[in-house]
Amino acid sequence: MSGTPEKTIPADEILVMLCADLEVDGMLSSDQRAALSAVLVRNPRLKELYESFRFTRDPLARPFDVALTAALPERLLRTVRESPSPAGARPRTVRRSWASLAWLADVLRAPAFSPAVALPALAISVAAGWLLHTATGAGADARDPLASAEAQYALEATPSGVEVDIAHGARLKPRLTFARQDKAWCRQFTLSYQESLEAGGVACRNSAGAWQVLIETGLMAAEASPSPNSHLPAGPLPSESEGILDNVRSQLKQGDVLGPEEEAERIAERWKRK
Amino acid sequence: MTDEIRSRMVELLPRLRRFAVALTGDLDQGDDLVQETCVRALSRVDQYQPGTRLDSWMYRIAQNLWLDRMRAKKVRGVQVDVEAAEALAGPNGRTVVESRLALDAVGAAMAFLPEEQRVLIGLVCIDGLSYKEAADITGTPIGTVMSRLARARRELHARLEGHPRETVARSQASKPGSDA
Repeated sequence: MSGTPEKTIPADEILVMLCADLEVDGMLSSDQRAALSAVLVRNPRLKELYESFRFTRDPLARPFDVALTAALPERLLRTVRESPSPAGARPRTVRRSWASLAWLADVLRAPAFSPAVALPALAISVAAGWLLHTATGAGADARDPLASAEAQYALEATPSGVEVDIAHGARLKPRLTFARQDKAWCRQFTLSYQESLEAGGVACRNSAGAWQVLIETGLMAAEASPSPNSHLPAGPLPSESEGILDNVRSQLKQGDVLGPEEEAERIAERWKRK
Repeated sequence: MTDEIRSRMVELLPRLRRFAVALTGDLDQGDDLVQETCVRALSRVDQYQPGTRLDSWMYRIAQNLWLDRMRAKKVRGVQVDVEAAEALAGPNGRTVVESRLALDAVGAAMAFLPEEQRVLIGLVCIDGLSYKEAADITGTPIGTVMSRLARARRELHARLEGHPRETVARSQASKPGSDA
């Protein structure tokens, strides 16, 4: 089942493409551009990819602009004015391209991802949020993709290893549960979108009972997991993403990862401490 | 209300032409596609949903007409785009035209892409739509849109900037115009 070529595009390639497009469209701040440049200087492979993607926006697209400036042929104007049509439609205003990504600037400024962090972490955090934002629509709180009731319920009540729908095309699967040093419960999770992309993260339950994202990472082209029902982390995440999440967990964790029975107990008792 | 739609269609014509040229690789053929698109759109204007984007609706119609046309050509065994591409390509598959970024050269490189990828290049790289908008227009999952785009863009860069990559070899091995 490991995939058609369409499913094996590396995550960083897609993320570099996203960054290149956001930059062309003026969606990155000067700080973000500087952070991106620093990453590209350190990583020639990513730089080469970035240049490919930039190239296909400009200069590649430029020759086509001749169609914008050339005089409109009379036959086209006549067609639009005179072709028969049934009556009935109403006009509406046109929204701007990329408008739904305006929140990205805020996400990129999140303290968890300083400019010193390498591109995979920086851009992946952006893309993971964007992924959910895309799935949940413009109305969702993009800075906290887990804010929806469905996502909250999934983290609150779903045993690790079980995947649930949280939005059109988006699914969340808790992977494991552990306690933070300050006694808050945290869950590592995977988000996936239409069987094509996956992102990982860690969310912790605050004193008010809401699950908040601590870190998002690991956007990748999804492949069939060899152990979808495993309680411990299932299919391997890409090494960089896995490393980031493991590192976060080891810094936060107090005690062991909960086993299935203990986790079921905590869920049943709505995460009360013993 | 149709008058208002017609007037918005006229405003949209330059962008629609550019998208059509991205698909066909040629201004004249592009204009034929635009004309066909407008006729089709006006004949079905009652199907246009008020409150949705007219440009997306028109692009969808243009895309479908063009894909139908390409499929019909394949059925007849005619590969016009491939012939055009081969006329501009060297023996190793790389473009040999001096002016690499002339419309002909870009069109020739694009002719090697599968149709679905060409549509995405037209929507995202040339018209500047977001991945989400391109996904909506093409009716394709956004993950697939991003994967196809990434692949198509690397392929185009390799062809036009002359980086002999595996992508070039791959598409030479497979028939131009077929999806990966």
